[in-house]
Amino acid sequence: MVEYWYSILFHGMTVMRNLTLKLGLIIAIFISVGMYPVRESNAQVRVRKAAEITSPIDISGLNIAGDAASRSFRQTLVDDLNRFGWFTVAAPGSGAFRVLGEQTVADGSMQVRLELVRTANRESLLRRTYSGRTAEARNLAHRIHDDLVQAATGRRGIASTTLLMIGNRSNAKEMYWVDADGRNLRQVTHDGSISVAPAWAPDGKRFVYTSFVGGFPDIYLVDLESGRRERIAAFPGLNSSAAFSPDGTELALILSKDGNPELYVRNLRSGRLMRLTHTRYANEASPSWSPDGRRIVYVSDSTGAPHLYVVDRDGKESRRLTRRGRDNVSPDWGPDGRIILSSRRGPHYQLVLIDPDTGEEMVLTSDPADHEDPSWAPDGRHVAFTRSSGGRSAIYMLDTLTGSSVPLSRTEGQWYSAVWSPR
Amino acid sequence: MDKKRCLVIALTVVVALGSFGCGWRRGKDVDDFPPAHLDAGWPGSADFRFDDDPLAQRFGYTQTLDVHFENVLFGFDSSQIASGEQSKIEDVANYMRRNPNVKAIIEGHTCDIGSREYNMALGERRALAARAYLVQLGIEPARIQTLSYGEENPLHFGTSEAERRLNRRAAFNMVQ
Repeated sequence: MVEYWYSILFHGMTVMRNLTLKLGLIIAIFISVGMYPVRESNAQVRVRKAAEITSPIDISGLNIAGDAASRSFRQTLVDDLNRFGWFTVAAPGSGAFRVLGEQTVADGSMQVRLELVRTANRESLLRRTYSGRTAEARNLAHRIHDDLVQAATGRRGIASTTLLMIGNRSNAKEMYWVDADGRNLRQVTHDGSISVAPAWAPDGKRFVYTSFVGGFPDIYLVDLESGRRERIAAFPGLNSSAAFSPDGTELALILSKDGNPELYVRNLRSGRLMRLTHTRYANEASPSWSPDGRRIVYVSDSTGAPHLYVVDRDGKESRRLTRRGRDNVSPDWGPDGRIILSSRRGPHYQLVLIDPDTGEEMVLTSDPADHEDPSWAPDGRHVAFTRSSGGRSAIYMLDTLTGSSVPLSRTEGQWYSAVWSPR
Repeated sequence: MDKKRCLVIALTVVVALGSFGCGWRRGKDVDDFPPAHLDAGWPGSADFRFDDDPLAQRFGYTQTLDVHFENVLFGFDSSQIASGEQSKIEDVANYMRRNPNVKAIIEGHTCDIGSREYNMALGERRALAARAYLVQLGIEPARIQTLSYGEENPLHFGTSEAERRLNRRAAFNMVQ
């Protein structure tokens, strides 16, 4: 489904761009969030209306108990269905899909027996029984949402994934952990220090980040289950921007130990460190691996302004990827092979999608605020990013299919640098 | 650096300074920081291993001295030390020559425009540029550590260009 829509969007973009070149037309793009035209963009994109992608789902056939835990379960399921863009909860008796079944509570545990049916042909798409503690009613609802999405679309939902982000509400810059719906906020670090550049390990249980807790910017590995923290890079100078390879065996990182910030890859088994860039007159930052682990996209300012470059894992054949925008930063290589980045277009940073093979671009945001540090959700459709405006910054979730975004961080304070967990 | 490039840069600088009516004081090559001898890397950097405790490789210090120097300011996205900023570093060099037991931690900072990760690298390069000039002035590399804060530690929280300009800086801490 996603691939299908993207192929249409990218094909449409190419056609429209050729048209633009031939006719010299300048067509402004409007996006549902802000309705502000993108003046600098050449890429002409038609953003889909939500109704063309989402399917109405009728859950009135799922009998749900009336106690507090059950109400929380129901509300969480309805919120997830309406939030993540695959479904909208329809009026009873209508809808392209129907959920049937029963939810019961006994002795502190909750059981849900359900079936998902495609209304048109009465095809049964999912039949499963779930159980869990009532205290975890929200997690149960998230799991069911993700299964419903998988059964209907073939791609698993993201309601049960989580994000790491940085918040300053303690007056320091600490790491926080939050559910994909913005609830269940937990503080991970309590250092009274500065945290920068978090990145998940592919197991979804550990993360790396740069902290000043030791006085200098060093890279730490944190195990979320045990709470153990290990300093894994503390060379003189800068240790930053660590990123796990998809198979978890290597770490890309930025070090200045050889006299200038450069991109390195460390093999986590052998400890061997390989230097990938040799740009004595430039900065490198923000490496992100391709899904197959063969290439790395990163930021370099060797032209005088930061742009994206793609280099082979072995350090050969680095080539410049971005040409438009005053500067291009914070790439995240998504599970479907597309790279999302933050690009300075006009006065603000906007989110841009780029195909690393063709260089085709699609500008996804246009409202007058800064859109920074995008991070793909594992569904390849949603992106978390920092939206800053008027001195306030918050985490938003962008639906790259519809162009609409909704707030993800719900708590007072500044929130930024969110990274979406793998599965 | 070869002579040809030196000549081209020197000519460019002289022409540029001339056209703005600035005095060219020391014949320093402002377009080429950090200079080539930084290629040698940090002292002992070849010996570092991930599994060592590398903080021990950074110099230790017990106190921060109550000595203050002017911040070196930088252009947007730039880590070049403008000729007008050089004398600030020369003051530091003179102090370090007079006090041979003192070491320097050079903080590199940026304004809040751009990504935090890119700014971490940019801040580091600013600190490295100031370090390179100190080394060029004869200060031993082992006496100077860099410490990039990127955009995380601004002097001013406003978003005016006047405030942002003051945030794009290298700051000197003297320690012993």
